[in-house]
Amino acid sequence: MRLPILLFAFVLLLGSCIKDAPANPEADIESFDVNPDMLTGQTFIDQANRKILLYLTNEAYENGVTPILSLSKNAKVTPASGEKITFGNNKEVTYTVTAEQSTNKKTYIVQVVNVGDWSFDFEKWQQNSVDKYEYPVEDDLTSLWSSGNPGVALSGVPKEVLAYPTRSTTDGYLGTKAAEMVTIKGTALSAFVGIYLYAGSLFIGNFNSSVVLTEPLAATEFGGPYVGLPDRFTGYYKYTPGPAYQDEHQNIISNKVDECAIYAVLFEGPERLNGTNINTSDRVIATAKLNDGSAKANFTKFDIPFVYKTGWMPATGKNLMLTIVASSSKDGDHYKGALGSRLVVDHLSVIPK
Amino acid sequence: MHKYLLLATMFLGSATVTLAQQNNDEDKGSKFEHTVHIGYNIGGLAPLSFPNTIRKINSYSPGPSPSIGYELNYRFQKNWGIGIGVSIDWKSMNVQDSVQYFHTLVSVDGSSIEGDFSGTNTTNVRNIYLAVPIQAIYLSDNNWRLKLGFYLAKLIRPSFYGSVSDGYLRKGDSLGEKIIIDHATFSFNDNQRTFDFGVAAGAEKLIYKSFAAKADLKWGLQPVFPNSFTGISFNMYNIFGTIGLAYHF
Repeated sequence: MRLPILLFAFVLLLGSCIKDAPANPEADIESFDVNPDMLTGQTFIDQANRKILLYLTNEAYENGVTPILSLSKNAKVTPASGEKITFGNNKEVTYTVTAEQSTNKKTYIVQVVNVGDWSFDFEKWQQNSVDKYEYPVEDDLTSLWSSGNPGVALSGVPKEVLAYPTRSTTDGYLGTKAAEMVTIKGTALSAFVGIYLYAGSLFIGNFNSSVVLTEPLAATEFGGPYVGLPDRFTGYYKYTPGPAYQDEHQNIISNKVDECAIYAVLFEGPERLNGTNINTSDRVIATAKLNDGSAKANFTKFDIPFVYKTGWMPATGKNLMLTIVASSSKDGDHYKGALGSRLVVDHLSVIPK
Repeated sequence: MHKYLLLATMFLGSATVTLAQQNNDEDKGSKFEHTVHIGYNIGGLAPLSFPNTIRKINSYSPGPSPSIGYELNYRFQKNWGIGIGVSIDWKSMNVQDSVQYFHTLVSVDGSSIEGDFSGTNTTNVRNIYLAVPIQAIYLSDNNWRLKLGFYLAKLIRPSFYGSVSDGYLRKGDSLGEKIIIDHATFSFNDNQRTFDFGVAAGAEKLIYKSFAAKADLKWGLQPVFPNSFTGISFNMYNIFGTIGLAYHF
């Protein structure tokens, strides 16, 4: 009975012919650290769109900063980590990372985000180069707003603008464009992980794709730095709920009508809140929430006062953060809503005190 | 390719039967033999050479893999014969390996996700094949039999599933964004080809009266997943050995 031994040896042989490890093909900027005294908000690395969003004090913006970078193993970067960078008129600096597998290169654009006057008309949009979803940008092309689109991209929808739940529309109140959110059906792949519906969503903050499978609610990181104190949240919207409301297991709930969500939250920064704690964190200072999420056939104005936490006193030296969140299904973060629910928002503003 | 193999099978099969019948008329029974056998399959669905994206085999076990079959043998010379058989083979394995930058594209009903996975991969195979081996047989004078030929097999119960865990996916390719994956399952049951063929070789030795100990190898020559399947970026073949017992009558 030598053959079984031979067979066993054969299996061992298969196990032993492991080849040398491939050279590392990864070219990430994993962290981008700037002296916190120079920041008004936490730096965010938007890996999907290869942008590094910096929230700088005026002084830092004028004098430049000296970021310390960490990279994928054995990758190289220019300009080097620890090299001073200054921002010219276009507010952008480009970093090029070369992987150990040196044919792999990745370019990141560093953008200095200036939140400005907190008035948003959604006139300018850009497209993700790989997945083709749209996202709104400011006049200076910096990114303040994000959406759930990068998460939807992971479920393998067709690579076209209208396959995503959040996009631009020419059906606006002011100017030529507005932001449109439509609740769409999940895909065959998303059904594997129990997701049957994606609500359109739009928020001030960032989408952190890395945790979208492990902790989807934590992927939506809310907030941009806010100077002063907000008084009122205003804007225009129209809303058409979809015909049939479904729960997270795709069961139709009769007599239930979908509602939209539009709200703004002021909280203590500089750390962002996310989908897990935006409604519950004790760092929340004030909220302005649209109470009427029902159908509105025509553009309807809202003007909502911020309601402050009782007893809260403004303290100097605290970084305040503000976010605006809109969704075509108010329970869309729990994958509940009606397919086809459509929310359009335009001309959103935060009026300071 | 399938057509020719099927034709070859039918030809060889009918030749065996015809020869057997002719022989029956002349010399009843003596050159004509039946065998039943049982065994255990050890092997796997494996690439011919490991791609460098597989970094380590953490564990391997053959899984529940019985084999049971029947063979009709015809001896047309003192030392030579021909055999055709039918067997049911459970071809199972459990493998856990560490992979790095393992390219995959999974597509379901119009939605697809592509990327490079690094982390732990667990693959479980529980396929059941109905196989027809056709072999030339050499019978030695000291109770050994050596067999060489080919087999055709139909996948009657496909089962290929597993999980990826403790790792991350680079979306699209190695430059894409990192998506952390704790645990995600996959099932490629119905992506497998339902037909398999390959080389069949074996050896057996009479050990007690009509009982023989045997060892066989069935080496698939066609990748189990068709080229159109992109979930696994290298070709895998059914490579299984069988150890067992045969009874001649």
